[in-house]
Amino acid sequence: MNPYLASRRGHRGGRLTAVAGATLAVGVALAGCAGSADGPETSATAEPTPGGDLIIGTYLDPTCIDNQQLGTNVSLSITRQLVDSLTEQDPETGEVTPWLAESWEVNEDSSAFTFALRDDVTFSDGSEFTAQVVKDNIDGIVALGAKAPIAGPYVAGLEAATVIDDHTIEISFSRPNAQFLQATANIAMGMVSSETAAMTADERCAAGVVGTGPFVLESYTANDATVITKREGYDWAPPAADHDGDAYLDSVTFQVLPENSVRTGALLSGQIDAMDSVQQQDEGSLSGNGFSMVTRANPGFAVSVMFRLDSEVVSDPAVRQAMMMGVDRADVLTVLGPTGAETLGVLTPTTPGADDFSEFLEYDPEGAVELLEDAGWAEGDDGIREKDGVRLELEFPYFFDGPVVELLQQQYAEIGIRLNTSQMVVADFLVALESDSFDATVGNLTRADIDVLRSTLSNTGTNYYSLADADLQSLLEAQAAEPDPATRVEIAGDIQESVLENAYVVPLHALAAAYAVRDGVNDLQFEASSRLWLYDTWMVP
Amino acid sequence: MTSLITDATTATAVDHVGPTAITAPREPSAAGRVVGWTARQPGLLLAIAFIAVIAAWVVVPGIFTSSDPLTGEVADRLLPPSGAHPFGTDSLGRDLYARVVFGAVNSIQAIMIAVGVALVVGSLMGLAAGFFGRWFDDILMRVVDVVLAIPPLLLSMALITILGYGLVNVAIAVGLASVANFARLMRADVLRVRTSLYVEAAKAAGCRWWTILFRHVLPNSAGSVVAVAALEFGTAVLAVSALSFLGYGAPAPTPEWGRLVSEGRDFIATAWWLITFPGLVITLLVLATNRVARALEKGGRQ
Repeated sequence: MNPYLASRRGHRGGRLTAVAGATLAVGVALAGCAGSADGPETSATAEPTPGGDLIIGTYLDPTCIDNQQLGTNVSLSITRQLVDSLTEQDPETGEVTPWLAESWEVNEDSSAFTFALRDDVTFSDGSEFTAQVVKDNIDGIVALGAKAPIAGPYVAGLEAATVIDDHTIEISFSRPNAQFLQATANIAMGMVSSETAAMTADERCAAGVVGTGPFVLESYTANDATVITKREGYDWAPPAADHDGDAYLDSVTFQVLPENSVRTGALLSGQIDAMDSVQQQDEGSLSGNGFSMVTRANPGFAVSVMFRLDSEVVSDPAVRQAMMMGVDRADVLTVLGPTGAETLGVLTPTTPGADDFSEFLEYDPEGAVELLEDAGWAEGDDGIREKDGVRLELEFPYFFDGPVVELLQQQYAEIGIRLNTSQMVVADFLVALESDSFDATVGNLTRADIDVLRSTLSNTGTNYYSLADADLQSLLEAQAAEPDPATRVEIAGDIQESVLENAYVVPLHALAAAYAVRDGVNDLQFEASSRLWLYDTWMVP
Repeated sequence: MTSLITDATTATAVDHVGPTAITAPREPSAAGRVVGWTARQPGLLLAIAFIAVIAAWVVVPGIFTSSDPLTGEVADRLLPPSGAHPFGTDSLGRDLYARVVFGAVNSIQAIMIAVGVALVVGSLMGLAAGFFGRWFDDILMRVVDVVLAIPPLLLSMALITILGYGLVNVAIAVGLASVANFARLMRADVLRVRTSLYVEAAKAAGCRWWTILFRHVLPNSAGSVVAVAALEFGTAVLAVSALSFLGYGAPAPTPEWGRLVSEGRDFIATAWWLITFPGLVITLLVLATNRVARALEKGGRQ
């Protein structure tokens, strides 16, 4: 039997009264929803009430309830409710603030971090949160290896995690690692119990993690639903939260509904209370008339055309410059709707330290054509440009953002560049990247830290894009070693300017978390990396 | 679709049980009679006309539309059907009518390959099994039994996993999945023809086996298989569209009917034309080919 149906039937009675309540509270709720995307001022207009079972329709199966392993949007959004992190990053300011760690010290070259931990925190299985647990977590992430694609790089170059006393831990690296402080705020570095950390990767996926968070995993059924329930006695909410103590909601069900139209239909007919990944075509029916949109742009490396810079065609800077000028980003945003947002540079606007580089991103097809003509790319018979017998054709594999890729193909065809696109599943896509059988692709990286520049462009790691520019590489390393946040932002600015001037990547748009909620669901919020934060969410009874 | 095929199979099999079927010489004035007979059936005429239009889309798509199927204006996205865009426009502002017209080449090509593979491979299997008999027949027919036990769409998917994605591979997979029907039908006819007098006579006259096989047996047993191939055409339209709807077929932005339906399904509530027109073309083509196949079968009987 479908647990989804069961749970619906379970509180059908409650829903009838809820409808009446919701109509009375419509005015209030509308104000509440409008504000919830921006900040916590809602609680002033209406008094949050505990209780309620929220059902969210998700476009993906989380596949693995482990925040430290493979991170899809959905699995991260679920596990954020289950685990707490050493620090919290304020979604508004980007500032890193205490959470499970009360305070910390960073040494001069940002290679050693000492955290003083809270002593009143327990896991949902009753075990205590101690320095040893943190050590087990750090060592566990290292042990996961390739199975921890997000958290792994955060702790790359780890020298040791040393327990100093029960509630003090020092984590040291063999080289400067300024990004690590922000990393401790990320979901992928959320703290799991020692018992979870000791399990194998597959066991962790199936059993789900045990955390200290405001919710506890009740059940996970693959391709069906994940149910989490309120943790009684939760008392260590992060400072940016709107309240203290237990979460408001009794339970949250993440119902897998991959088909966009089905998900929308489920929300419109009242079978679910909220949904993610609202598509452009459904935005109209979900704004107003009893529903509202809650969106936030993802921070990090904007979705961009990424070049394999040593490939024959795109090693010509004129080609890359022309591709920079040949994108009509307004059209891109029109096609994307709510799941896209404007970017003003390589870093999206919600990234702490992002700046406005929009002068590089202007649409100028005539300029692009002129640039190509001057560089000797003459128009061939079929409209595709040629130079010395080489056609301006790019092998372009991709695994997401299909509509945008199709649009790019159209826009680039207009200036005489052909994209030979091929949509792939992730596994094949990674093979294509590694085998160098591509000229360009689309890529992005979500994280609220400027270190995404290094993770993406550095030639020391996977080096898919073969960026050989030595000056730029040393800037990427310099920001990683810079302890002063302001100087780090400055270096990030230099990096972005150099990347855009040379058109090493062509930023297209930011991704956005796009949720729709029915009226009566208030304060559905986002944490700093634009994943769900349901601790303050409440429902009109 | 399966039931249609089964019906046809039994019908043809029954047709040929009687001794009259053995002597099937063509009437000299057949062409004239066929035209007259067809003209009296408006449904059949419509079906033939529709197939002719589709065939024209395949051969000269350019004269049916001046729009480019691959480029559109984002400003014109999701426009309902109008004079300028008879089928409306899609989410990237491309003209849907142009995409359906230009998509015909891809879809029909795949369907032809599918039917061709099924016809050739199936017939050869049936021919060999029926003609050589004994253990050869046993092995081939047990293989056919096994293939028949697996649902065709599932078998196609399994084959695509082996062959890889792409429209041609989809077509080959669909073809291979329907080989069994043709093999059985062909074998039944070959068994009947093999024992006929003129084959006996050829044998007695000392003809070599391949002469008997290709001069006497094949031409006299191919009729019913060809009639079923026309029916198979309708099945293949659906199977290829279904697999391409599921994403096994041509990659974006290639226009292909199944893919167009798949792209349109997200817009079913807001832009009905995206799923309706390609769906309608697929449906009409299936109906038209079935109508023609039935006529062929009837015509063959008269």
